Amino acid sequence: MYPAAFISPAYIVLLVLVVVPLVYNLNLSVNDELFGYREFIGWQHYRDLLGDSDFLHALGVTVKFAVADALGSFLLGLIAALVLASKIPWRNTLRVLVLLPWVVPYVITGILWRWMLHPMGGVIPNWMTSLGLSANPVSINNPDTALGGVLLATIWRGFPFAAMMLLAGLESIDEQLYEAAAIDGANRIQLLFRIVLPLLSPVIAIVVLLRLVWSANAFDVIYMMTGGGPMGATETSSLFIYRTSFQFFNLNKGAAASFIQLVLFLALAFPYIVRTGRQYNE
Amino acid sequence: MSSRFMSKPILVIVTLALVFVALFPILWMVSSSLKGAEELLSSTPSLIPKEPTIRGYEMLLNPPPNHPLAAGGGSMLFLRMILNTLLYAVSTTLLAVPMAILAAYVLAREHLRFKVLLIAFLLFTYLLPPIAIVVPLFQMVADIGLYDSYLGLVLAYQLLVLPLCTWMLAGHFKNIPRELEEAALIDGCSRMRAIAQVFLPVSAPGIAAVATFSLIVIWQEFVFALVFIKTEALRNVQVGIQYFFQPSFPVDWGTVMAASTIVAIPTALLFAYVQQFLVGGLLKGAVKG
Repeated sequence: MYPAAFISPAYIVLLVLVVVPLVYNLNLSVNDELFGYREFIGWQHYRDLLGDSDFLHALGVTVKFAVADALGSFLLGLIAALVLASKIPWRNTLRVLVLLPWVVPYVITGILWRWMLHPMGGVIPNWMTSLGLSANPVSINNPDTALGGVLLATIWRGFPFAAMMLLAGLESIDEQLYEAAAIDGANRIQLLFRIVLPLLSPVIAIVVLLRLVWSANAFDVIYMMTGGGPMGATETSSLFIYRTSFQFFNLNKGAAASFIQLVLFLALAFPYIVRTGRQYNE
Repeated sequence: MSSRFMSKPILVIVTLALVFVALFPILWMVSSSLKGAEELLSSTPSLIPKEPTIRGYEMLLNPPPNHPLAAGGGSMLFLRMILNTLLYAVSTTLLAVPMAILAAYVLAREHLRFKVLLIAFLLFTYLLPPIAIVVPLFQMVADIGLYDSYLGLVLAYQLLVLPLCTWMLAGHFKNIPRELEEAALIDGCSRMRAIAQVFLPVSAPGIAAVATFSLIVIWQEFVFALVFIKTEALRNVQVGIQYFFQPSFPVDWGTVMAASTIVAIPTALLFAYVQQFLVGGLLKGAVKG
């Protein structure tokens, strides 16, 4: 009796908050509502979306953004982890300092980087000019470079997470492996690419996957930095959903787009979920 | 000072670059919050304000009458929003953590037939993007009549916090040896007493850390707060900070940075407490970034 009683509160709440809305979502997405008059239209919204150039563009932006963010966070995190695993003075303090971007709330991250990239008072365009560059290569006011600007903010905020996980992985590598490699005459680069990275590959896979999932669904930072602009240059599918549902008040179409987002999310996360679930049970 | 992976000079350069990259934006934020309007627009900005001023912070507490911050709630709107955010964070956590403890205990201790399914469902809800669920959830909450209410948001927040807490606690509890309660049970303790008097005290630091994570998550939450709340008096500060970006009002970056600094402080403090647990066991699968 007791296991069921203990588990019920949490799981019932989750069922209500997740499963019911998902069913609701399906219902919303197959209807069209105008001034309270609801009409069943089947898969029409989905068909419209797949032909909607704005939606397809948003999906494209999402893919570019997610891949760039995951790669960027991983690479920067790896460098940080390699440094933090070394013998450096004040290592513990440095570990905390490097984690600091993670502490800044998403909204503040967006606002802060918006300020740092500001054409008039921003510190980064200033440096660019003093370096001799005529235009800011990561300006968020330019449709061609806006995504880069947003990526700066999200990678900055996201790399500590990657660093932490990679550091944990690094520290679990047996010292003797390094010694054996040294005896065999391995140099630093070989050490990194032939020994460390392969050993870290499970952690790397998790880090990259989680960052992909997170950035594909990210909303706060992008909304605060650019609102999806300029001209949709930074509108990911999350922003598209928000715009369709809450600015154009087309909740039904937004529901259909949400469903597509959910399916894509599941495709990405499903193997991880099943594997982690099984691992826990061992 | 040495590393297996890079030569000493490179190590020095990379370490300094890393610290700079991590710290500079934050320092810039604080520095900008202490600058006056002219200095903010200067074409040769410096990290240390040439003419420091607390004007930005003053504006938050005493906005002039036509300032967006003074709308609706009067001059205390900013403080009000901070309090609201605090209230949301604490209430959500107080509601979620007990439920999470109960569920996590069973997941960690009992052999259940469908445990993999339960864990998979938990992870699914944990990783679920809020934006994918906000549309129908909004409709549901509105239909029940809890739109634009404090209770409605706290209930919706359970979705964000329950899976996180349950999953982290499940990992943490699993690391506590079973023998602990077994010993108590052998001595004639009922299971309830064993949990309350033996297990909980031992797991308390972990529970505190998980509760802190929950506070951190809700403090910085934006999407739900944006969608579920309409009245200014109920707004949380993450959404409220948008008030600075009105189309008809030039952005006062000094005040914005002051507000940003203040809003970032609670997470910094909470994080300072919780970071000791991070590189240890709690990190295992817990953090999604």
